[in-house]
Amino acid sequence: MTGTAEGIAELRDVHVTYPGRSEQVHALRGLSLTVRRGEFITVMGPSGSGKTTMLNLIAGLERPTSGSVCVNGQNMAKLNDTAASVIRRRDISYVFQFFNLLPRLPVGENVAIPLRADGIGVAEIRRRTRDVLEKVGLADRIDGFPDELSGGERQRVAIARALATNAGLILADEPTGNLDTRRGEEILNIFRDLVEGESRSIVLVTHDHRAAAYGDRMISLRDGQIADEVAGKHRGADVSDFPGAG
Amino acid sequence: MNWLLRYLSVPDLRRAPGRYALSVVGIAIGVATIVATLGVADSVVHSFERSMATAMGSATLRVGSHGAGVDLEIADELRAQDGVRGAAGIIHRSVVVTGDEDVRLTLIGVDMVGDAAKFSQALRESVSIADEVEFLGAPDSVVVSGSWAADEMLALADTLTVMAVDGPRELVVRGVTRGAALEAAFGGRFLLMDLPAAQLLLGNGSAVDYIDVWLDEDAAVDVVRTRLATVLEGRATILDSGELARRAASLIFAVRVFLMMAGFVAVVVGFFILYNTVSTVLRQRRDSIQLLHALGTSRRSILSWLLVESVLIATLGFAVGVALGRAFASISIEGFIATSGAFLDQPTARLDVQWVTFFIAAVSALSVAALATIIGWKRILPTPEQQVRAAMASADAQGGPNRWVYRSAIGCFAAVAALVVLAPRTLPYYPLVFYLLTTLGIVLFGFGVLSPVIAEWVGRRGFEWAVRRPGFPAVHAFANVGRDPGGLVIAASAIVMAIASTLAVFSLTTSLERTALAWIDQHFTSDAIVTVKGQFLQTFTATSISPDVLAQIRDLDDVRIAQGIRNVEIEYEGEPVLLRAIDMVPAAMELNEVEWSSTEDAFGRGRGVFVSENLAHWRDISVGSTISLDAPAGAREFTVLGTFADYLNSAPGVIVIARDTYTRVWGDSRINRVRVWGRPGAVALGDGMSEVVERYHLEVTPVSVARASFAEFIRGAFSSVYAMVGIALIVSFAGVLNFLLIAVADRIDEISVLRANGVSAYQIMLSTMGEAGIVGAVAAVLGTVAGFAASVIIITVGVPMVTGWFFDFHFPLLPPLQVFVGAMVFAFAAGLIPGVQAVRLSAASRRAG
Ligand SMILES: Nc1ncnc2c1ncn2[C@@H]1O[C@H](COP(=O)(O)OP(=O)(O)O)[C@@H](O)[C@H]1O
Ligand SMILES: [Mg+2]
Repeated sequence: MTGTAEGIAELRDVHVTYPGRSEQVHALRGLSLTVRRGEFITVMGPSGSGKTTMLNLIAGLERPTSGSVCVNGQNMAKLNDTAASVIRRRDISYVFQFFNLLPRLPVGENVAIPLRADGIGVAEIRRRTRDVLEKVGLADRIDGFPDELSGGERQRVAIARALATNAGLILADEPTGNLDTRRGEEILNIFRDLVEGESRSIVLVTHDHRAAAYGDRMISLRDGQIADEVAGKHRGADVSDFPGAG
Repeated sequence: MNWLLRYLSVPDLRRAPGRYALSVVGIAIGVATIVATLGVADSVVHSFERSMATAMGSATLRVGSHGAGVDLEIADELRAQDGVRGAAGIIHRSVVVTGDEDVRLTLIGVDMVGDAAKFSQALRESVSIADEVEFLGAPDSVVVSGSWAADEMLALADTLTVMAVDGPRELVVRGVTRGAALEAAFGGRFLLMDLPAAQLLLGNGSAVDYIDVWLDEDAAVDVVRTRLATVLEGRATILDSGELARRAASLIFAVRVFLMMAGFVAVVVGFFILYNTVSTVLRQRRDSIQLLHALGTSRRSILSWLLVESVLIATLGFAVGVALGRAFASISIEGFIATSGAFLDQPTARLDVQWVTFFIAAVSALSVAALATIIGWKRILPTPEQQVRAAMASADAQGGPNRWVYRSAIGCFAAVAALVVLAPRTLPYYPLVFYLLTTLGIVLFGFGVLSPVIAEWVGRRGFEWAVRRPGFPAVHAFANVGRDPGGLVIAASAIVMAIASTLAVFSLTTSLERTALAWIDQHFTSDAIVTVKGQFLQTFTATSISPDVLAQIRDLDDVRIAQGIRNVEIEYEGEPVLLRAIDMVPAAMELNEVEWSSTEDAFGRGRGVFVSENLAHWRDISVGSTISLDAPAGAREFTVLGTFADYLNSAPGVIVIARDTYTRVWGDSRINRVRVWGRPGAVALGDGMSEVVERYHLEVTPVSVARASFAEFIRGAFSSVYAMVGIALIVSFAGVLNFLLIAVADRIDEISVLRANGVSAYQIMLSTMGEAGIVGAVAAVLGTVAGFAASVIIITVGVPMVTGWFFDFHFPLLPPLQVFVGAMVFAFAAGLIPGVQAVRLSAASRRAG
């Protein structure tokens, strides 16, 4: 967590094009964004507007066609796979909408994936895994398997994994999309606490304007560009007039 | 279903023609091997039958059995019987025509003015002799086949040199055949002589090979046959052409069983190739199939579409396989004749694949196709209920739900134990092949069924071990194996089967070599063996040599001992056996349960005989019992003095008799080979021997060469099996590779999670390789155990049933080790490709959102 004063993640004039069947698909067209330390950014936008692409770029899972993506001051596009993997396992935590857990690994080992990948000692892994599962209220499920958990519980395990790594930046792609309102709120509260208590940064993609209101900043993407940006009011803010809502 | 074929199969075929082609090839390999192996063996037997039938002309019965021969005078006795229209002596055996390259032709000797000429239509129609008086007057007259004469550019009055009993003899072409009947029966490879001339040429004395008997038109065959048997009193056996063919087949029994087994190994290989394709295609189509199902197409009609598709593939594979198999058979038939020529007197054969062979091949191809499709369907597209049940099973899978697996494995092993305990001494061809395939199949199936359970166990123990140390790949690899062993069944079973069959073959050859090579050392005690050129390995069919030649060899200065040996086919209880007459010499014969010295006297006086252990095993002959053998003057009884091993002769079994006795009882003093011991200190057998050898077209095989060539013969016999095993290994490892590639494609989501959580490409690759390595190791260990079990069964049960031989059991240790290491290396290597693939796919893939 040795980011520049500027921001933990910085996208500058990023373009991403995919070779489509007939013509190229422009997923992102000149996107620039700085994620500051301790900042909670929510991203909205219609389907296909480039939200997932943006998160993948920050995580170094994809490379920009042009422009630059820096995390902790390092240009993700210039790192080799090992170095990028190290950043992903230490400094970033990525929570997907649906599929976050490996079905053949027990819950505890699912939490431990980035720790094991990082070569952390077994005793340390065990301690951290238990701690974070306790935080999300799933300590008793440590030896269970993902198919025994509900959707919300699985999502909490994924968040526990984010907690376990002490990653400064959490990327979440519609993590509450398939949860009921109460469960969704539980998770959003955990996120809020992380930002406020541990000053982590979060980029949260959502379709739900109430979820979007949890952010410090709300960004609206359209056709691969930032269409609008407003400051959030935290918890329960009324964002019904926010572009991209609904 | 039509539209499914049109809209799913055809586009798939366009997109991946290679995959369909591979399936066709897989089926074709199996079909081709069946058609080629069975086709070749059957063709030779059928050619034999055809040539026998043609030579018999319209004769109904045949007396004699292609062996020691029958006295021509018997023909007169038979002709005098009620219901018999005519009887004619026939010479029918192969002779060597010498030249730049020696060739074997069938020599037919018939009385050109007797009953044969009168009753045999084939003979009347096809033979054209220029000057009948000259032909009958000169004993060197021969009629050659029209096609052979054309090939060799022989014209009337030309000469050819034939190996006679007393050395090479020149014959003069005084006639040529025309017409198709004889040409077709003998493939153009025959010579025709007047009976007395042929008898003279072969040193037969008054004996002929057969007496053909023509019956009155209104005579009842059975009644006459019984009457003739009474007249013969054991001097000869009565057969019809069907029985002759059956006996011919029995002479190459072991080879045929062996070929049939090889054919089925090929089918199993074909199954795995096809299964791989089917499962790949099914996985790729899973989405479209589930969509079809959701849109209201019934599972049944989707399955029938898949079945039709694979039956089409199988049919195409069958057609290609038949063509391939026939091509391969026509190439290899000459080689097969050369091998079987030691036992079966059939110098040439026309490729003539029987409908049974096509039927077996077609049924194999179709059932393999259907089986692969149905298994793939069940595995890859389970019904929702099956999925629920599987999920429930895995939820409380701490060992319980696998009970059925243990039960079926135990059932398999119990069945095998019963089959082994209840094994008969031997069985006829088809039942024997069925027995062996069933027994070995169940053994391998039992271990195959166990493989996922064991893999699961290893996976779970390994996982417990791996979580106690740092690092990610080992945890992931063991977890995958331990929690999803079902997917490995086919891949692991393929390895188990491939390794097991490899080891079984290794064990078989090692045991055979060790046992037989030790036997060779005891058996080949002479310094050299003299035979007619190129006939060292020939037994039944070796050219007869005059006893004068033996006398000349004996007189040579350099020769200390010369032992004449005569090999003839005779009857024992209605089946052919090899009677071997040997001179009494001061060299011991190696016997199983008695000392040579204690039986030497009784043997030399002709009171008793020795019986090969395979004959004793099959016919339940014990030492001290009495056996009855057909002889020219009526059946004779002999005491069995002992048994011995003889790894040069499998199918018919051997009876050894003192040659003095044989000559006296059978009236035949000719020999086929001479074992020679030189004077002490003599380096070679000298000029005298060279001269004899040259004069009589013989060949001296030093014992070292004899040993080497016999060892070579044994190894050569297994080379085709090694090839099959090689293919099986490649296929099974391709199966693992395919499985892992499919698994990787299936696990895109998981790999994305791993990548997003900072697991590096290298770590994912290690994990995939580890998974492959664990599967490989489990399968290799099980395969080794299964191979050991299969080897024990093959050597202690199978070999005695097929050959009557008893080998010492050898399970070589190095090959399993090599195979094991090889399997591991290959499995790791196989994991490398999907490992790289995993990383590539995850880079290209994206989260839906
Ligand atoms: N691997 C790919 N190949 C081609 N086009 C892609 C690929 N991934 C995404 N796209 C396209 O890029 C655009 C942005 O996609 P995405 O970032 O997933 O949008 P969102 O997450 O906002 O729904 C879409 O038009 C999508 O179809
Ligand atoms: Mg998305």
